[in-house]
Amino acid sequence: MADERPVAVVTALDDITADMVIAELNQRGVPVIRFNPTDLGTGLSMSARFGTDALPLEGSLRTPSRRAELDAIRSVYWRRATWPDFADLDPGDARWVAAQVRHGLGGVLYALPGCLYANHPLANQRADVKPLQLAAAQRLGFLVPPTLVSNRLEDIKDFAGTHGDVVYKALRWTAHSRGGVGHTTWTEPVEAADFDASVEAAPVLVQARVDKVADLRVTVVGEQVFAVRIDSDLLDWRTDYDALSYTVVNLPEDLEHALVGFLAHFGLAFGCFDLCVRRTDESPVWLELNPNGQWGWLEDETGLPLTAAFADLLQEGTRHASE
Amino acid sequence: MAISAATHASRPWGLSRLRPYPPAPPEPFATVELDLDTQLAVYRDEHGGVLEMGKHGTSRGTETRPQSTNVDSSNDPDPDQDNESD
Repeated sequence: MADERPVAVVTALDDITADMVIAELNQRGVPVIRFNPTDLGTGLSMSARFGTDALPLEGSLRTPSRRAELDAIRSVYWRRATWPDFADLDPGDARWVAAQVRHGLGGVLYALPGCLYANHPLANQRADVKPLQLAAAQRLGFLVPPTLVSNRLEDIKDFAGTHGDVVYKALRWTAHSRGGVGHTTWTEPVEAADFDASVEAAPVLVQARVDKVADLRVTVVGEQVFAVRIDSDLLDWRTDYDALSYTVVNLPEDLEHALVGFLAHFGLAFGCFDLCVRRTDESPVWLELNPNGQWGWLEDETGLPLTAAFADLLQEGTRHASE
Repeated sequence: MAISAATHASRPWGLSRLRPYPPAPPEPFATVELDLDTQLAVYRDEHGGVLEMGKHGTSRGTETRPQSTNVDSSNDPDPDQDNESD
């Protein structure tokens, strides 16, 4: 008998990667309910009841085209949700109402019983903290480059002086624009002399630069591991996609286990890992995890069946675990 | 006398490391709407014609866009991780 429980896809309208997964789920006959928190007030509605009977939570979610019982959602693909900003209200009021939405609609969506999350937004949030990642990576046996997070000028200069070749990385990506132009940070080389007392106001992350021969981008979906070697002359390959070449590679089994274990440690169903291959011995070195990272372009470049893997995960839901 | 927030002698260092994204070509579509039957987005040009987006290079133009959904240049800006006050 067909499983009529829907997969919920929470994302903005303009999301090609989500479309790839939804098209695959459609082909498999898996029902999908797609919405974005900004749709509140324009057709998206939710009621959730607690303390009514044996169910921890019951209620429903409605969009202009779909309805789902909250306890019957088999999985959630949390892609690129955007939240209403209430820009027409004064900033204090807007912030207050926005928090009601986060904790009302968001809170209910975080609490769906028996649902597989790819990924749970709160797990994404926790896993996106670089100091937590670095500590976990070390514990799980990854090679972690010497790294300093500090707002103490003498320690930063000392670290840079000791390691010679160091890079700066932002602790957190945050949307930023100047004069209407989007800005970001790339991994860049820095020297001791680059730093001054202005580091005291906000910690920075500096890391010993790994002498690498290539990068690795490893997308782990459930227990499926898809590793791609990225060859370029770039310190940070994201700066120029046209300069990259891609090769599908197999990883040693113990590394695959460590990556799957890393996701389990943070309660994640999938993740996109950045590693690099050290020149001296070709060992893979930890860089970071993007808990809700991008993978759509990698399928285009390599033909790896990533969309199918995501559809497998979402279609299966938690049935596997509960059996 | 009112207690005021400490002022910083200089701009925090990290702000000096922000760089502009490479220039992106204009959006290749004029409108996007949800197909209620398929739950897929439908992209149209300015004449209302449906555009094939996404797979196999047809959306290469969007892939260098900072907010493009298909590449990793922006990690994932899950906005509820950015603005949470508590």
